Amino acid sequence: MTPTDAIDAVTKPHSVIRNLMGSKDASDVDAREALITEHFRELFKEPSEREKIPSFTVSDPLTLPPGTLVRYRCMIQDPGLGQEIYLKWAPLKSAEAASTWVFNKYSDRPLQKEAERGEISPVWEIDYAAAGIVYDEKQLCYGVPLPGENKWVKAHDRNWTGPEREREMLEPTSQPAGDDEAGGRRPAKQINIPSKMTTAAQNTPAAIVKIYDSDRCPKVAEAIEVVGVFEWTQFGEEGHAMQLPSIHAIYYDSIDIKDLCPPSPDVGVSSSLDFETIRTELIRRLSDTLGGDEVAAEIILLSMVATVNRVHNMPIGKFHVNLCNVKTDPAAESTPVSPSAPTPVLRPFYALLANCLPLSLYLPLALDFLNGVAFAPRSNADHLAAGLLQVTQSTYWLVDETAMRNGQLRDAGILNIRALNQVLTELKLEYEFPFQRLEFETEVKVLVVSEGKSFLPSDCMVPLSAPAAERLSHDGPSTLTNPEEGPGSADPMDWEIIRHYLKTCLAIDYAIDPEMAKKIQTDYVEERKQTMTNKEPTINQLDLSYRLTLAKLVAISKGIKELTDEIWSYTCNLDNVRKERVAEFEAARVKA
Amino acid sequence: MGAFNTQSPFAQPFSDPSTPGPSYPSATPGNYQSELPSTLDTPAAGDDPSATVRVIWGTTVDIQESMSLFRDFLLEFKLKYKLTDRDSHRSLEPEYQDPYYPRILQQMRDAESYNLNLDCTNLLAYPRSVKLYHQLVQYPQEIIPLMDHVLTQIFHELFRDIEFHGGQEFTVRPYNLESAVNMRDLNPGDMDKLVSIKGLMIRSSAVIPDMKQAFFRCSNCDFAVLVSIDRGRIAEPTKCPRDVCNSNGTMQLIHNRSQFADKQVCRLQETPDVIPDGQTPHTVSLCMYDELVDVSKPGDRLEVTGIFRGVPVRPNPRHRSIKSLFRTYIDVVHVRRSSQQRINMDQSTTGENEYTVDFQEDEQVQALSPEQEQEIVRWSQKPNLYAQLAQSLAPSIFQMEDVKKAILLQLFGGTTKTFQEKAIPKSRGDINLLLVGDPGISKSQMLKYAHKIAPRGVYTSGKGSSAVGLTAYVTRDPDTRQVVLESGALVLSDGGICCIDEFDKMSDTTRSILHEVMEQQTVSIAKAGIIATLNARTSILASANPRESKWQRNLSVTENANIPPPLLSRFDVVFVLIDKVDDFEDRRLAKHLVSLYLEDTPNVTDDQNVMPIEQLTQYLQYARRNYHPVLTEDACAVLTSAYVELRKLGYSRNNKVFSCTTRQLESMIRLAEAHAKMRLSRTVDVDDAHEATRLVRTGIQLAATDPLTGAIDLDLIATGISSHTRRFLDDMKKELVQLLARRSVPATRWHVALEELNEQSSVEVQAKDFEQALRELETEGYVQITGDRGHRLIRRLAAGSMGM
Repeated sequence: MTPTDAIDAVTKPHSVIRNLMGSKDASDVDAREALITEHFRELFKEPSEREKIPSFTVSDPLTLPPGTLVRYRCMIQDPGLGQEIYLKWAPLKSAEAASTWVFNKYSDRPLQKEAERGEISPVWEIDYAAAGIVYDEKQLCYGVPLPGENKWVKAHDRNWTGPEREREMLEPTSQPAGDDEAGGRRPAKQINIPSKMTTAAQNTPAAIVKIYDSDRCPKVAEAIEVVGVFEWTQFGEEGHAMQLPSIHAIYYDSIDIKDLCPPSPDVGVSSSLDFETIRTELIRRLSDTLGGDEVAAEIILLSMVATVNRVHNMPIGKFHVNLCNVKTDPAAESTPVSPSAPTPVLRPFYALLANCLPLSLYLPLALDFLNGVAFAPRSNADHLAAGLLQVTQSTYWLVDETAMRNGQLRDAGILNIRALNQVLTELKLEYEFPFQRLEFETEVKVLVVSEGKSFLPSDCMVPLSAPAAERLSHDGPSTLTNPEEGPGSADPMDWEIIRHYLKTCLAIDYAIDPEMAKKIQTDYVEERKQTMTNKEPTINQLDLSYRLTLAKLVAISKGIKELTDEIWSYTCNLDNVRKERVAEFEAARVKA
Repeated sequence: MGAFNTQSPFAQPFSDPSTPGPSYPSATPGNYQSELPSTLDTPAAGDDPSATVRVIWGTTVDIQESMSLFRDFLLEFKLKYKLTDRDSHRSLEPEYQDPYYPRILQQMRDAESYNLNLDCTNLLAYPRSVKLYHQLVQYPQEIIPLMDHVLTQIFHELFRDIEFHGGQEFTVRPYNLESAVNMRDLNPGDMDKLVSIKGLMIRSSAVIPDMKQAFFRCSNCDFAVLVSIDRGRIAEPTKCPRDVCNSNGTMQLIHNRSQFADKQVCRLQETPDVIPDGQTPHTVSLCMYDELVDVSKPGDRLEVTGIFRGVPVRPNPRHRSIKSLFRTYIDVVHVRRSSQQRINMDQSTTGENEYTVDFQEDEQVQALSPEQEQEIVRWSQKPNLYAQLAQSLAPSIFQMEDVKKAILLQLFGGTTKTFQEKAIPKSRGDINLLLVGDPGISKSQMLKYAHKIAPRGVYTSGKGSSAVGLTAYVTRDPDTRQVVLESGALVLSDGGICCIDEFDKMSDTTRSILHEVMEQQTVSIAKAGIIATLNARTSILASANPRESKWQRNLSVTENANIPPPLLSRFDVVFVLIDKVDDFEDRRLAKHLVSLYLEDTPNVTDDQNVMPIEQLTQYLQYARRNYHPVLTEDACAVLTSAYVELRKLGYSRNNKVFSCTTRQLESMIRLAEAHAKMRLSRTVDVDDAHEATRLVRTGIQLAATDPLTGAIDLDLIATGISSHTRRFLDDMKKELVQLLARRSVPATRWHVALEELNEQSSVEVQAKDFEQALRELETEGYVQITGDRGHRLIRRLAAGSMGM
């Protein structure tokens, strides 16, 4: 493949496709069709090559020339936007010339258009009655940019404007609602369907993704990277039609959260990471934003590396943390709080989170927000409207109860809280369809910040130590220098290392060897016997599950693949410290 | 010549001119060719060149042949062709011997309805018309008008005396195709074919008038012209056809005298059972005409039969630019509501004057195919079905076997009985369960599992419910602004299970509602001018935490659980679940838990014991719908004696203790019926009765012990062993002795002995009883027990005073 192949593929993919397909009468027509996907995949296998494809999220669709190849990293908000049947091989007949076949895949443009650009002469008509006419089906999905994608992830996705393009191939780039060439009125161009975008993302462009591969279809809330041809398509009924950006997918791949943090030459191989030092450093930075509480910081770090399996439909390994004793700042009552503007107390903390994690979102439980915005996606008969809680796997939520003020929670708010509850307990989100409700899995990590014990269910409750809470509420915002960098930060390269560390932890293959398992069982049985005789509350199976999860997280955060004795005792100690804190905290609240 | 286009969606749907539906002009042989230009005359391969054979364009389907096939079918088809081998003995009945359709036609004539619902399985059953069936599926557009024509002809022949208005159209509506297609699988290859799909209707438009014939009148001379729709267009005349007038541009469309057909556009959505994992439901558009308009409302589950069509997308109706995109929809020919197939409605509970949706057409529609039925019957024969089903109910919860079994029986439910003497009210078949005990025992999880499987259940939390929310509340309808009654949780779970968590936290006012629901199975409302009694035939599964958040063993159930005795007694079985420190059980539990965490991706080896949920639900549905067991004499005897025993147990206690009333007897009857239903048996046998009594006894044992004479002792049987139990123990000891004597090895493991004993006995031996028996044997010197709890060995001693 020559270097110009890649450029051709990007600027005029349709002619590349037509060249690959050749004529319809060839014997291996079907094989050639499969080749198209292969060809494009091969061309752009290397990341350096892939960067040559302009990214849809970074470029402005209004200036992007239609007919170029783009790549789009998106979450499938609605996999069932519709189905369309199209003419794969369109037979064109004309009074003047012999009839010919046009390969019409990966495009929505009316065939008349071809005529005006001089490829086909103007008096062609589609001959519907021709023998051998081939119809095929395409599936429409709606892809929105990944919710909660943090700035550093976007920075990796460098904006590439492309090489010089030949002018003749271009269509005029900006077209307001006006008459099209054939004399009708073309509807206005919109960058997204507003009802399908969350409030934060109202002004970002989103695209309809048209899938031509009928065997598989992306799942709802799946994160994919699509490479395909960009075009403007008409969508909607007559009278409410609009022109929307759409991408005819040539191929797409599912992306994992680990892919969002690409390997960097500065960091080195993951096996050479010094887990202990990085871990300590990260704990230190976290505690700086939390008034100096290292225990809380450690537990929050553990929540960042949690992964979940489903066994018999139960989520194992779920670790939602409730950080309490975070006082609400009365002065902050006047400042409005929204998903993009955390409360002043939490701002540095959230900035730190956003710097480490690829996908993170802030959810203030402010009343107008709760009552106004829909958390769960709902569908009227046509399509699925956006819900705030519809996010991809491994998104990290910071739920802020301290943003709550006095007021009344209305119907919408109650439903929202219920949806949030379900996400926390079962990691499932219920989508509302007319006459039925469907649950979909949503594996997210949640940290709930509250003043007292949270009313939302969580797995681990960590009160901030009293001195730390004091420091946080008084000093918090003023020690802030640059929210982007985080307090006392080192140079930006350090952040890369931390991000890599987190990514590696997620990928560790953890196991408990049978000896250790036996020991844990024995310990559990013994402890139950002992607590019985001392008239203390017995520990039960929930405690055991919790401890096992905690031990796993401690192990992988230290980069250790197997549970050892010292990790187990470390875990038990950590948990005891936490329990003492909880007891203190509850005692203090009773007194107050 | 300008084209006059109508503006409704799908305005130009048809590339073919003739449409299925009653709107095509009356078909008589003479006009046939003009109505169906898709036919083609070809010379017959044969002698007479003037005799032409008409075929459908693009096919080799011979029109005459098809028509005569259908005619033959209508006149000659008899129901006996449809009988399976199982029912072949019925073929001699007159109903099955006479031609079927002439009778139907007579009914049609009497009812003055002109639609024939054609069951396509009849076409397949009748040997000569199989070919016609395939033609129908392939070319419905052409075959259906042919069928209409034949039907009209036959009707005229049979009933010569009837006067028909001009243009009376008969329509044939085929349904019940061989297989229903999944909405998702409709692809371009199915275009223009007859398909049958199932789904849930989510929206229907208003009725749209679809112009069929336009009436134009000249404004000059009042000359009128009728123009029919042709290929989706009506050719508007530009000048008056009357030679005398011949003026240009004076023809006006008169709406009132034009002919319209009713049209309705609806959307059908997939039901959850067919949606693949991780996908949202697909929808498909339906187009209904004339009689089918408003036949079904949004919310109905339908099975529609129709022609799958594609329409070129034409965003700008004024413009010709044809894109190569098609939008698809289904041109509906027949609609059937499949609400009968919902598993929740238990028909036996409907009262006299209650309206239920009735099938008019084919009563033999099965929800399951025969193979599936056989599969289910095969499962019911399995020996450890009971244990297996209980295990599948909540696979991740350890222990609590009895609770799982009780919940399983609750899902099956007893039989509702109506007594012939009018004075006695209906006896309910629903079983109510209460779980109380220490926190951390996964009670809530158990409830969640039950809720997931239960048909039509509602899950609420006691703390978050109000009396009103549970029963019914009054709101304003947003559309009509009238005061309406909205069902609450209990009414919504009519026919299902209502799971109530944190029962103890419920306020007393809320709880008072439950009294009525649990006994009378109705909910009475008197508010806002609405006085009504709603049905709430639901089973209740409740879970409660003790008041002190840990079960106090020196207090009675009522005090611990904070539930008043009258309400407590309305529950059929009350389970007290205590977190007992038991070395062996704890070890097993710990092992199970740790195994879940052993690896990151554990390959959970599902034991053969665990049935997938879909199978379990299917089994449940089948059993609930088809089996209503009846008590036998023997079972009655067992139940009576058990009831008497239980009464004796509770006799001499003070009234704080849970005493046994006829309610417990009814509970036992219900449980026994549920057990029989689980076994797919039509009679309640002795085994079922024993199991029912065992469950009730288990509940009562734990709940009924007098707190003054001793705390609830989980290791020993309650004091005051009745003579019946004594006899039972003696029998068991005898059996044990014989069992140990038979074995060649002197020492036997605990569990092995228990299993063997269980195999021999017809009644399941409880661990406690077993332990008691062995202890007694030990004191008698017959056996020696060594080892600790889980790994005990029973050693048979050579001699011993066997005073039996």
